[in-house]
Amino acid sequence: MIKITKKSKKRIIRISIFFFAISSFSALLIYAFSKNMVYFYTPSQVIEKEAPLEKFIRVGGMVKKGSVLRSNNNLKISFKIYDLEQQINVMYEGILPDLFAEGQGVVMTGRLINSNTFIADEVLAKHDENYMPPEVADMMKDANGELYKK
Amino acid sequence: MITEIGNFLLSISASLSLCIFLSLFLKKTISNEVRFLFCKIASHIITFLIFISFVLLSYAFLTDDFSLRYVANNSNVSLENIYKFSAVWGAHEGSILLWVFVLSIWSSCIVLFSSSIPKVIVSDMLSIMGILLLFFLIFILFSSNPFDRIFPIPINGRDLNPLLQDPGLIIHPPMLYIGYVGTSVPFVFAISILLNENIKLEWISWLRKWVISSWMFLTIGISLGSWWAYHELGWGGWWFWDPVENASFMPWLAITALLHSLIVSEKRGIFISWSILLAILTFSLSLLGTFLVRSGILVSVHAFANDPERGMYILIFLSLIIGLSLGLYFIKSRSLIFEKEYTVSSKEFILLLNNLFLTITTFAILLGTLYPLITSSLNLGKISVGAPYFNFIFSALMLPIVFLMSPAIYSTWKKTNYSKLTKKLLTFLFYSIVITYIFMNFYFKSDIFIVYLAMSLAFFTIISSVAKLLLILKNSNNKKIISNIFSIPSSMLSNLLAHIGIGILIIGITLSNYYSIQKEVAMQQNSQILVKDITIKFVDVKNKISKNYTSQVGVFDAYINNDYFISFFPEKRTYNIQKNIMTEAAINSTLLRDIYVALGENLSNDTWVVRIYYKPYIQLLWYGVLLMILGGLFGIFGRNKLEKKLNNDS
Repeated sequence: MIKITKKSKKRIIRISIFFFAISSFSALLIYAFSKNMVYFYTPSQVIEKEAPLEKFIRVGGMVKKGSVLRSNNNLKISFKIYDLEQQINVMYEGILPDLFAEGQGVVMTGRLINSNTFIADEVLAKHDENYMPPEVADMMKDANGELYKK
Repeated sequence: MITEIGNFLLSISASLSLCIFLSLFLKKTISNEVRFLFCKIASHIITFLIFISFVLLSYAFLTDDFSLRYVANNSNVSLENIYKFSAVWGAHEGSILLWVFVLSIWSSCIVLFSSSIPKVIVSDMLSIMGILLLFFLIFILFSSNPFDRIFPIPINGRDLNPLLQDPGLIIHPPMLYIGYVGTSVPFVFAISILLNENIKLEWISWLRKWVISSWMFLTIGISLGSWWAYHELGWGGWWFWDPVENASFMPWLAITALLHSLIVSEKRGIFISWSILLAILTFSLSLLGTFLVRSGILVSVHAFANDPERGMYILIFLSLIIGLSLGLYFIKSRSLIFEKEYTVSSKEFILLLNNLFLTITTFAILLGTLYPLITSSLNLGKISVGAPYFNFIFSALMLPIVFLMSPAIYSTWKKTNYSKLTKKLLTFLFYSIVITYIFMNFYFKSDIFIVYLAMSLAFFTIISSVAKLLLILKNSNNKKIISNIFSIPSSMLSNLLAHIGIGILIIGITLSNYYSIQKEVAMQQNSQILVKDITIKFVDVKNKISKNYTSQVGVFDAYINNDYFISFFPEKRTYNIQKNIMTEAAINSTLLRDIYVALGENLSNDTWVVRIYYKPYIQLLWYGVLLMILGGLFGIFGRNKLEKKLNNDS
């Protein structure tokens, strides 16, 4: 039998406490992580039903000119966003960021209620007229990698 | 002219930095004295030269010298002078110049305040500083040169990003950079300790002040950023888990861990190897932060125009630094491992737990920040990790850290009298639960468990710290209270103040988070809305024309019980040149609450979307931070027992 000295016994206890702590926190971490990952979809992916319905996702695109409709007495608003191929409807209730404008790139979080309507909880637009969210810039590039502009 | 002089100064500085670095390899051939003298003088010269180039760039901004591309892109004739000056670090090139400038100041400070450290260690530290300086100077000269010309010379500049035209943002970047770059000091110390395989405990107490300084500036910088976001972004938040915020918060967590592990190293001579590793990691996280902010791979309010090639350069340097220093660490650190006995109830063990939790927190935030970047760069899909992840994981890990603060204050080294400790702490815990219960029932009539938990823990920390302060005052012989306060060892005072600050901060965060009232409504002129006990009436919107923007100013009158008490003037600004729209919220603060009014969109002629927030106790957040900073100041400028003893001996 291997003789366990007092010192090494202490060390074993210490190491096992350490590993217990590390593994329980890793479990916590993985749990929290997997619950809060949010996937990004383009309007084309939404139309092609690649995006799940009724799940918290992000969607981005360009705001279609002339599509923004808003109510005069409450905060409800609707507009269309498009990428190179498809367009979808967006509904939102709340305050839009200062730089939200027709013809600008926008990224939103929220959920899909059907394969062409997105209910946005949060609308992000950047504080710079030249800025385009990277996700939107990526999807607006054509086969040659040139940025598509209308 | 400015272009030539600027480039010349930076090139000279780069060559000198290279020489300082190379002197590391001549250690055996030239005498210590000579090498030290060389490193010392060269470091000061570099600082001076970079300072001059910084002044030149500021001069170019103040005199509207649009022949420089950087000035033309980030300034404008009609910009106010103070913002012309702060525009020096308003974009990429200038902020990297500020980075290097701050780095050179830190290395000069090492020269000035290191009389207690052997010259060979200091010379090695300066040599490592040299290679860091060299890298950033090359980076400036070849890919981010603020002195580059533009042709044809524009008549007017493109203006500073309006988001940055705010008093809070004049000092936020320099403070943050001083803190960020300050982590280089423990890093170069760690590397030279590893190179020399030698360490003395006095050096650690010397290092601790540098770590506290860097910690304090990081604290100031981060909180200024929060303060700015709260006032300027127009939606009342102060922390968003934005990747760039995380980039500054990770070094803060790491350096906080380092601060605590160094206490154990200094007092007990253990955890030295761990402290060295933490110092390396902290600086690596700082560099990672610089990479994240400056590479353009992030989606963030801070990501303005960026260039991916610059990112590559920083990434390569980052990997080199981390790889080489970790390599060195694994080869040499065995000589720095000392073991001494300590029990589970000792201060050592509690600080060990503190470090464990802080490190895990840092790692959790790192994972949440980097994972989306990695998946998107490997084309594995575009993922983002939402704020709920960070909120959940951060609160869960902060609970044990805050809980451990009180036992840490009362425990002693090696072994603590267990029954005495628990008795005392249970009493404090009891008081804090009672106070929380009374407070919550009386004020908020609410029963959210997590609020009770957080509040009890915050009061637990505050009560334990204050009780400790009173205990020390009672025990000291002097009868006068004022002189008694000064007789408290500064390290203890700094520790208690910072922890009371954390307690107050937590109360502010918790209450303002859970009991805010937020109203986003469409308001017609002359209509009114009731928020808590305050009636807010929308009176008018006026137009205002300023030097470089026009704005619409809302006029709101607030009444309590039909008595007028204040007016709010939130603004919606349109900047003339970049045509950006900015929201300036109007805030009325008292210790008990903030009332926050911001204008949204104009729906029709006299109808506006209005955002009104009532945030209870949010001011405590800033007061808590102020106490932490005060604690930092005591830690830096107060003299500790060891130094007093040394001074008395000599």
